[in-house]
Amino acid sequence: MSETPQAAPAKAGLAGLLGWSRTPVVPTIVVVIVLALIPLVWRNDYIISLLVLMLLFSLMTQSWNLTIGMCGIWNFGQLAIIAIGGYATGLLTVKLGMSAWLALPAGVVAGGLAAVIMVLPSIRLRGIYASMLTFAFAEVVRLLIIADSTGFTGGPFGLTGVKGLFDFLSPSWSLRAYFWLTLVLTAAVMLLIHRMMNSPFGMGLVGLRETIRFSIGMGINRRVQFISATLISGLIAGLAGGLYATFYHGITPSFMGLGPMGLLVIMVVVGGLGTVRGPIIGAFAVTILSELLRDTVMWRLVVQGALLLLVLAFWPAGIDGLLARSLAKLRGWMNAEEGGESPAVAAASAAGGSTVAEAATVDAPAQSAVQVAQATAPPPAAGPVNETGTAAAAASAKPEKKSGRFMAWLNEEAKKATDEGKVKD
Amino acid sequence: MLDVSGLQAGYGAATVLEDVSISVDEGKLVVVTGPNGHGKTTLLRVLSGLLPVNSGEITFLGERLNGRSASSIVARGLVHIPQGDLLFVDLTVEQNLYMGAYLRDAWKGRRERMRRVYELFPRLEERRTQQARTLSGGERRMLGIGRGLMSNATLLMVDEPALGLAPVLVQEVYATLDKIARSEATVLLVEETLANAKDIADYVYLMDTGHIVHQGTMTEFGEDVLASTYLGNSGS
Amino acid sequence: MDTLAQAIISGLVFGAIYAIMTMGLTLVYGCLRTLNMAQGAFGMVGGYAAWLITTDMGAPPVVGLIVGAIAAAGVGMLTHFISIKPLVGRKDIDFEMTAYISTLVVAIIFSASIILLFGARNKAIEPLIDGRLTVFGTVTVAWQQIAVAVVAFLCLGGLSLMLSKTRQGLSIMAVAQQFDAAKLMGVPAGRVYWVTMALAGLLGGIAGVLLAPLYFVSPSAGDLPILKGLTVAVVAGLGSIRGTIYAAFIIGLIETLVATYVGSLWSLPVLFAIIVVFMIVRPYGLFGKPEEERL
Repeated sequence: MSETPQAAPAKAGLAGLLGWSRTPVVPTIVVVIVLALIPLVWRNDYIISLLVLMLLFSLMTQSWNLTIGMCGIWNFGQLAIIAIGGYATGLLTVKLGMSAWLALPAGVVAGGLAAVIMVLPSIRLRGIYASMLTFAFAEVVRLLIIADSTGFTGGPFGLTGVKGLFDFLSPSWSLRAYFWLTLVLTAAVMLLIHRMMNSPFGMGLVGLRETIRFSIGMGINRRVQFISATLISGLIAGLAGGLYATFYHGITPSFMGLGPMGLLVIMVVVGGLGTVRGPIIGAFAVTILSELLRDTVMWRLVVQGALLLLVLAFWPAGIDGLLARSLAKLRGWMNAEEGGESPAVAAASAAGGSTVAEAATVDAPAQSAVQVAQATAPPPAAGPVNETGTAAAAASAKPEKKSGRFMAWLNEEAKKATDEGKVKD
Repeated sequence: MLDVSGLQAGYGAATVLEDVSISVDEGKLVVVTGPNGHGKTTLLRVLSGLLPVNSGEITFLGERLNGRSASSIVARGLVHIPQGDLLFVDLTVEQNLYMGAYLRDAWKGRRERMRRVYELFPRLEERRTQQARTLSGGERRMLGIGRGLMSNATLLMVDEPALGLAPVLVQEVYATLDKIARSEATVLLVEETLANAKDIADYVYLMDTGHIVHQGTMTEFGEDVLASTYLGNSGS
Repeated sequence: MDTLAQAIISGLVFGAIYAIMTMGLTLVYGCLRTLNMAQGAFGMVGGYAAWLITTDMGAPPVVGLIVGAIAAAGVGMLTHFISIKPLVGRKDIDFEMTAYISTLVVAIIFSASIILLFGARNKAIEPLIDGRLTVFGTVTVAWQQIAVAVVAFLCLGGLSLMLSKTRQGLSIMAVAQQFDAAKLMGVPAGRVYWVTMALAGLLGGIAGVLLAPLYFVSPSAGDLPILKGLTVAVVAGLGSIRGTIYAAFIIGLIETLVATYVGSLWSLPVLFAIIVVFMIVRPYGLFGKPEEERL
């Protein structure tokens, strides 16, 4: 007994009819409440602090993911934005004696501004050029701080003595308070991002990835949307930085180095680039991995690096992609329904959890927008080509293996892999 | 010399060529004509190994070419001179020509080949050490063809030699192509405007939406066949 | 005045080394359309190989240079096979971006592996020649600097000859300029790719061995060079061979002059600021071509 596609929207309600996935607010709240019990039950402070770190990383990865997911830019300067938030918050508490609760919003705003300043010039540039620009920006910031011998920022040794948010509590309870705070914030950000990515606002931006020339053919609308997405990403980054600085009572320039940035990239890619859950999954997975390999520093680097290479080569959709595929397959076995529905319905049902579509993910609605954008896309950057293999071999080899979002972002020739229906070239 | 039968090929899932069969005899100049976008270039790309064969047979000098790599096809003497020249713009005329003789066997005799090419295209010799990007349209075309000749080719496939050239130059290029067909190598031409080639073509194939719809010697080709094909398919 | 002269000499010498190293970046970008972030690591490995042969095993420094170059060439090939080749021709990824990250990760792995093999501590290495030569007044030139200049001249000169006259060299240029046509001429793309990477490795290795006496042999010895190489490449215009040589000397001079007159901590931020400015104002560099769709 299979459900017709028409039944699914009814289940998902209005959101389904509009093609929006339902934002899983309620389930998230439930999960948060459950997780919030952890520090009450668990005594081990070290583990709790590790969890806080993971949550902080989650905020960072989510902000980075937003930039690449919605603006298509691999922002290698993200940590500098985060650090600017941290330094702003830190400096206000250290130099002006401000309370951390007041300094934090300042850090948030600083992050937002820094993001806009850093990303805006890179809009016109393609792929690696945009990345190089953001990276160069970030390095200038980092190196200027290191070169700072006036003691204002603490120079290469970093800023110390930053006030914490919960300094009035005992260290143990302060730790737990941070846990709850970051937990709620991470969840809230996740819901926000989900909303953003699946609203018309988000879907309009999805196509931006393919638009290389910013000024040509883009309405004011899109420009505003682009800047908004960058701004929000920066605000989240600033928040993460500010929380980090107050949690660890300090921040150093090495925080912005290539190493930590690489870690961030690994987290997001492994977790699932451009997805909603990916950054969080990645943050947790990679941090756990790092902990397990804590004593063998060099092997850790090798392993992490190898992991990234493997993921890029074989599972570009990351863990989230694997999960999504498995879920979709599971549903496929349970119902007799197979593909052919519109992505909008598929996404709605994925949220509602009933009917099935191939490679259905919560982010699927974006696919249709991508395909529309693809039709007007400028010629993609072509890499070297295999001697004998051409379009035919590659296109037919992996039609369904990659799930929605990742392809949308990394893929400049998505049409070959996503649709078998389109014919003309 | 070249036998193609029942060829079906395209780009990925999109099939462009449907059941194409042509054959080229040694020493002849064969033209494939037809409206643009109907598969002529695709045909050449399949023959030269840039695109895979979905079904059908390609036989060249008695050997089956299906699935062979581009470099092995060139090694066997089947050379594709692409549309738009695709010159190595920052290399000199001479360097471009040398590249034409890349394959080992051709490389050994490259100076001799180059002398022969200069005989056919004296203007290229004048511009020997100039960068390819500084050449005029006609000179570029000559360089492209000359480069193709450098490879000891037995069958030259030239894609739209008249493209973008003034009528005077078109005549010059075609005269040289005729000379080449008589002395150097067999020639297979793709030409959208049959009028350009009508004086030198030995045999003509008319391609329409990936099918060979008409074939014959130049005299057998009536005006009406051409007209109906072009008019009938305008705007498709 | 003497300080200036000394700084200029030093800047030119560094420029020569950067020219060699960045040439590797340029060739790889032109041919494989990849921004090879492992270029600095090639130099790092070359330095270690040279150190092993000379300090550990007592061979003369020139042998160290040769061995270092060859070892680095091997690493270059390895880098191609593990981080670039798996990505070539795939339609489901953005090649440029993925290759960039891929080579970056490989560089990190090389560093970490070196630490595992040799430990994290710096190693000292002897220069090719010791001693200084007085040019005029109190301005001196180290023999090492002259040696570097000679090596650079031979290296770049040899490279230029190879690229413009030999079959293999021409095929690299051909693939870089017009891939489809090269294929139609029978050029085997796969081989050209790894040959180019090996060549990049060779160049990086030579640069690394030349730098090693100045900066120690260490696992992170490749970090700064790649950043400087990027600066040179951006100023030159990615893929421009001529531009690379000019830009290398310009950057070498700027770096040294800033370090001498402002402070050594400032030379790197200045370099990055240069990248920022160029990316905003002239992304295709001084010698690159705007029509090549950089934007």
